[in-house]
Amino acid sequence: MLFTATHVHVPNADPRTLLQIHAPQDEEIKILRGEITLQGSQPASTPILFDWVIQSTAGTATTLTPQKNDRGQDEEIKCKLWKDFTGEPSAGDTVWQGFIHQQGAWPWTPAFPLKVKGGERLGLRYRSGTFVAVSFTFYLAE
Amino acid sequence: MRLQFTLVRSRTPARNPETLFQLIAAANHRVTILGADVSLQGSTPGTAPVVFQFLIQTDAGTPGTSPTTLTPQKNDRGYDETIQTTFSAFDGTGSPANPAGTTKIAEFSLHEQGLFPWRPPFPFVVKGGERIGLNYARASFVPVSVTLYCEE
Repeated sequence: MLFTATHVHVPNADPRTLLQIHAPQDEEIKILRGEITLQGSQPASTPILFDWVIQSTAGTATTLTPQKNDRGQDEEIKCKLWKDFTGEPSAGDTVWQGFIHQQGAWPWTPAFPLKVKGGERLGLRYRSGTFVAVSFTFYLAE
Repeated sequence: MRLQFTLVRSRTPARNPETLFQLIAAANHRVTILGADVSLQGSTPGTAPVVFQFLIQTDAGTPGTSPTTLTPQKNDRGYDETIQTTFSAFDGTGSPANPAGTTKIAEFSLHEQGLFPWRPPFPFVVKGGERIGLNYARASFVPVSVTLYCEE
């Protein structure tokens, strides 16, 4: 499955969750790769820190609907996805982090698919003191 | 078991070049390095890029005071085996000293506002008991983030 969304960031020095993946009970999810792109306009700005963290709560957010790669398959998608957070989930260990310039793009290709254990929540966060829009697409297998 | 660990360093440099971290393979237990994501948080478009070097190192050096160990994450957090490989971070506090060793296995340059997904065409083997470090070489330091992917 894959999903894509655009998020307009409200400037904040604290980390803000863009996306949360919630794996179904007893069924792991693999994040195969993704694309993160930004739409800033300041060449001399410092890049923005993104991180993937294990989260222990849901926070407050709206549902993000993924697309099946094979829309001919009629199985129900079990994984839950969330975006547009107005309440931050509780964050635990960091599993990945990196800086992306506000006029840049990262074809995010982990050296092996990152696993989300059954029942676990993994959140993608970023922090920026400036106003900038970010688009992301992620490719998952469940 | 597949592992990844990630760190961000942001401080004034003490040395040039400077070791950011060291991976130490457990005795008789080899590790393969599958790749790394390296990115920088500078703000000056007109600067020369930073040179990064993966080196075979022959001793532990003197890591900084905090943090001196890095905790990797198991990719499969359902595994309950103990991770054998250890990682040491050089944070530049206290009186750090780079480890000895100058044999390069990879080198690349990266602009201070850039990012680099380093993916060798085959996994780099770190022999049991061997040490591999990543050095940052430029006089001025900007915050750097590294995520390393490996398997033991």
